[in-house]
Formats: sequence, structure tokens, C-alpha cells
Amino acid sequence: MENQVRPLKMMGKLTDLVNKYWQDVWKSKKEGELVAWCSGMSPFEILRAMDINVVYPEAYGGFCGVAGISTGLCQRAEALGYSQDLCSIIRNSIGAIHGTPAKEQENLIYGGIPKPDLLFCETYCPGVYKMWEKYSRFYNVPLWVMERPRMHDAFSKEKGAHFVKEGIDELKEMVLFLERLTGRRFNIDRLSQSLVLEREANRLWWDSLELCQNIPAPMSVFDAVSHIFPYYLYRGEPQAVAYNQELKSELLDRVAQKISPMVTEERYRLYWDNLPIFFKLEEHIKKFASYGAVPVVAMNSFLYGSPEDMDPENPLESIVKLSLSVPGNRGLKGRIEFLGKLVEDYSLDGLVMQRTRTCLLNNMGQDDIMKALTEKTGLPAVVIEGDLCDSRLYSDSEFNQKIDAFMEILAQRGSRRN
Amino acid sequence: MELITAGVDIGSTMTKVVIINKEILASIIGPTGAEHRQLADKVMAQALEQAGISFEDVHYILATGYGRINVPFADKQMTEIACHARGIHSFFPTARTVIDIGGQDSKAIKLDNEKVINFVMNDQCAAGTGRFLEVIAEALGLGLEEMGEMSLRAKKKEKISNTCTIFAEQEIVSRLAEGAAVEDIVAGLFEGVVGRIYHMAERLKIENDTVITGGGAKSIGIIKAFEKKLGFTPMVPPEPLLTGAIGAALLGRDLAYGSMERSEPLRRKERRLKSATFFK
Ligand code: SF4
Repeated sequence: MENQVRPLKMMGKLTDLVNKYWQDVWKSKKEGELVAWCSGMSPFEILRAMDINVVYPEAYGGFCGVAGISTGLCQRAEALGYSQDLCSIIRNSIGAIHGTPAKEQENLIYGGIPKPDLLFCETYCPGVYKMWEKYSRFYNVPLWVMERPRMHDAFSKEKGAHFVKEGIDELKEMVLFLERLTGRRFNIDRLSQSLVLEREANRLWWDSLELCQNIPAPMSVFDAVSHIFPYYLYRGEPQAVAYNQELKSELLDRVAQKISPMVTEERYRLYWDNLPIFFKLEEHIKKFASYGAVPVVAMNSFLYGSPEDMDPENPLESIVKLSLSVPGNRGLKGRIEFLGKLVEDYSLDGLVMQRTRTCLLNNMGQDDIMKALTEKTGLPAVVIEGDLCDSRLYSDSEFNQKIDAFMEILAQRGSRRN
Repeated sequence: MELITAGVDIGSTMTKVVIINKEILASIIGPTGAEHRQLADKVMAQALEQAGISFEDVHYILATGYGRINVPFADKQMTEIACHARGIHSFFPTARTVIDIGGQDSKAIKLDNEKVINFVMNDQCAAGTGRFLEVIAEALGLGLEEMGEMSLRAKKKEKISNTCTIFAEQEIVSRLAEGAAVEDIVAGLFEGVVGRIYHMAERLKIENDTVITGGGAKSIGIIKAFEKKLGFTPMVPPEPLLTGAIGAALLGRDLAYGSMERSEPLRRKERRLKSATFFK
């Protein structure tokens, strides 16, 4: 039976919402409002509560990657002297901001990235931190860095208490800094209100991911990487809640009708480690679909901590916990435990480990995780060499070769459900 | 009557065809050119002639290797991972680890009898492949086998640290200019290549019995370097270039007998042997 790719209906809304986000940011910038660059886990809620616009250059890398223009931007960064070993998301942004002549920047996707008035990041990814330092000097704008310690096992109230306290102190300092900078008063009630919305959007997102435990899964990892964006870009705002609500209802419909986004018959359910290879999304969907295989879950889809860790009455504490309890912020032991549970909850048949060549952060420990998981669960695993944005670091023939061989192993073993 | 099946393995540098019934009726090895399709037809015709049978006598044909999709007359395609595993298992039923050093890639396969449990491949780079050794052999004006034997006479090993084929070649030229002995250079080279493949294979935890196959297994330099690294002597099949094609023919045979046992029709292609080229 020919497999049918059935993208979610929400795809149209997603495009509109993302376009609107960039239009609004540019409009605000032109009207003289403050724009902050944030890394993915920065305490942006506080910025929004003080009417500061937020832009995520890392996410911009993702958009460029999907649009297939990243390699060219990476090359522009290399022409400035940056090594190809540097993360391609970062090179992409440097190429867009710095490597593209000013008058050409508006021709870039979403008109490029508006210049920052201030910069925020946490210490999660050293590459981003270094890039922010560079741009702080380059634009001569202040940089605020938050510590985000890795949790050794997993975040828990007892083990995390000390880090939460430190995190809250840092946020308080950050508020004072912002008050001095903007001359505006920080309103904690406004922050609490936005956290009510954020918790709701987060809950809906976790529900959506949980719905993928159904067979067939109503959404694949390749969908999730796109549909997380409204939550990412509009955290704490009604748009994210509305979007995630509609997304969840569409997924519920699909569950009721047993509709998979990729295949007519879901034969194998896979774990996908790391983010998808942005510039190959469509081809990879087709390749997996040709075998009836669907990557149904990725740890990276759990981008933020659990809604259970959020309490809008204690907004500062919630913000800190939300960033500390992200599954990807766990040490090896904690990640292996989390993934072991996914294997059971999502009835997985195999593991696809995407090794993003230029992301040292996600590569570290990937082999150990794979070994531990294959030993613990008995599932086969395959390592795919690739990159998020730089197409020169990926080879179709190698990908196909490995997936073909992996599918032969799965065929020999049969699905766990049969 | 024993069924006759054929395995066609189109690798990046060599094309291999094997025809079997209970035993090997024919085996042909020839270089792979740009025109895979035409070559597959040609080599198959040679193999049929060697076996003294006609194309119609072959019950099932399974193609493998990089060029497997360019074998228009094959009934089925499978990866060389599965085919090597099956081929090696037929020679060495106790094999648990297979290390295949091919022209364009090297891979390690973990076996549970003939079943593949897991595999790893070297990635996007010629270092650790037959092509790397070929380039260096050419630069030194040696044949591959000669280079292997020469390495056994080394007094010490010159470390060649570059993994990039081109840079390694340059490094060798400058070592020669400094007066290093060719034997010592090639011994260092084998040690380096084997070290890279070994560490890749170790991801699967190398277990005995270990078999080395593919073109690389034809070099005594590689085998000796592996012996040292592994701490035991690896096995080598009688003709390491043929294990993929033999495995393909055996897998074809398994499928054919399997469907007979289940009284199911065997899915075969409408096939013809003809001369076609890539460009037509
Ligand atoms: S891809 Fe990796 S290195 Fe690059 S910004 Fe993200 S976490 Fe950092």
C-alpha cells in the first residue's frame, strides 16, 4: 500500500503565526521598542512582563535550516574566519547578522534578525554564550548571563532546592538590572498572569506529546519540531494556549480515527535522538514512511520542564524550576532513566541517534546513552551522522545505507507489538 | 532438485557475482565502473557461462552493495550488512563480530548466529577504508599486497597522524624526504588505519570469534595489525571479496526455500538479462 503523508491541518496556522511573530518583532523594533536576544532557555517571561520584545537567534537558525539556506549563511560566517567546527546554528546566525551586507539583510528569510538592545542567555550551551559575548561587544549592548547548572540525575525538590534558591536570587538581580535599564517598574502580578497562560500552553504541549503514545501516533517527531514553535515564540501569551489547544484537538481526532501523519500502516515506532536534520525533513519523512517506520518521540520535543513544576503563585521559583527540570538538562544517568521510560510508554521498536556533528553539547554522552539503552531495553540502534543546518556535513547515500540496514534488522526482529 | 540462486554485489570498487546451488557453481570478481547496469549484465553473463547454465535456470537473484538498485534483473535488494552477515555465518557459524573493510567504507557487524543485532559504519570519510590504502599505495608506487608484506619487515612504526587521505599522503611524502624507511611508514599506516576501524567497531563491543572481510582482509599488513590490536587472531574467509555476494545468494536461497515450505508463491521480477547503460 502506498504511504500517504498527511501533514497536520495546523500547519497553515503555524506558518501564519510564525510570520506574524516576525512581523510584530520588526514592527516593534522600527517603532523604537526594546528588542532582546534570548537563548532558548533564558527567563524571557520576565522580559515580556516588562514589555521587552524577544528574539531567538537559535530558532532563526532552525527556520533557515528548514528553508535550505543555512549552508550558504554558514559559509558567510566561515568567510569571516569562523571554523566549520563551530555549531552550524551559531554560524548560521553569524552569517546572517554579520556575514551578510547590511543592505542585503532584509532579503533574508523574515527580513533577518533585528539588532538587539540587550542580550540574555544561560550557561546551558557554551557556544551560544560565546556568541552572545561577541555580540555584546560588537553592538555595545548589555549581556545578562544566567547560570543553569546541569542536574546530575533528575531535578527533584530535595536535590534541586539549593539551585532553585540561587536561581531565584539571580532573577531578582536581573529584575533590578532591567528596572535600572528601562526605568520601568517590574510588576510581579503581571508575571504571575503570564505564567498561568504558560502553564496551560505547556500542559497542552505535554498532553500532545503523550497522545503520540497511541498507535498509530497522531504526530511524528518531524511534526513536533515545527509545532512546538508557537509555544516557543509566544510563551505566556494567549496565542500559544489557543494554538496548542487546537493542536491537541486535531491530534485527538487523529487518534480517534487512527490517522498517522506519515504512513498508512505504522509498522515500527522509533525514538529519535536530537533534533531532526532540518534541511532534509521531507526526504526523511518519505524514507521512513517507505518502511512504515515513524519516529514517534524525541527527548528534544520535551523542550521545557513539566507543567507540574510550575506554580504561578510563585512565578520566580517556577521559572527556575522550568529550566532546571528540562529532561535534556539531566546528567547521563537521568537521561537514560527518562529515555528508558519513553521506550515503554511509546512502545518503541528501535532508536535512531542523530549525531549533529557540530553540536558538542548534544554529542557528549550520546554513545554512552545509546549503549546503556540498547543494553537495558534490547532495542537496536543506529547512529546517523548529520547536522542541523550544514548540509556539507551530511550524506544522503550514507543515510539511506544506514536506514536500509537498520530496517532490515527491524524486519528480522519484527515489531514488539506483533 | 537443488534450487540455483545468484548473489550480485556491486561495491564501490569491485563487482562480484556468485551462483550457488548446494555449492558454489560460479564466482566472478570484476572492477565496478561508472555504468553499473551494463556491468551487472556483463558480469552475470560471465558467471552463467562459468556455471554452464542459462539465465532462466537461476531461480532467484538477490543484489547487494552500493550499486544494488542498478541491477535491473535482481528479484530483490538487500544491504551488504545483511549479506555479509549471512555469508560470514556460512563460513564461520561461531562468528560474533564481522569487520568489513570495503573500498568506500568500513563497517562492523554484531551477530547472533546469522542475525544482525547491530552495526556501525565509518562515516563520510575515506580514512579507514580500502580507498585510503589504495591512494597511499599508489603514492608509494606499491601494490596493495606488496605494501602489506613490506609492513612485516618494519623495524619501527612511523606514526602518520593525519586522517585525511590527501594530508596523510603529504605527510608520507615529507616523512620519506626526512629519510624514514618505507617499511616503517607502511607499518605505521596500517596501525593507524586499523586503530580507527578498531575503535569504531568497539562501539559494538568486539567479541570473539571475529572475522575480517572485504578487500582490506586481503592485506597481510591489516590482518597482522588487527591481531596485535585485538590480542587474538581474527578469522579470514577464503575469498574475502566474495562474502557479500555469497551471502546474497544464500539469502535468496533462504527466501526461495522459505516460500516453498510455506507454499507461498515466490515474488520474482519479470526479468531479462540485457545490455543497458546508465545513460540510455
Ligand atoms: S545546536 Fe548545540 S551547540 Fe548549537 S546552539 Fe544548540 S545546543 Fe548549542
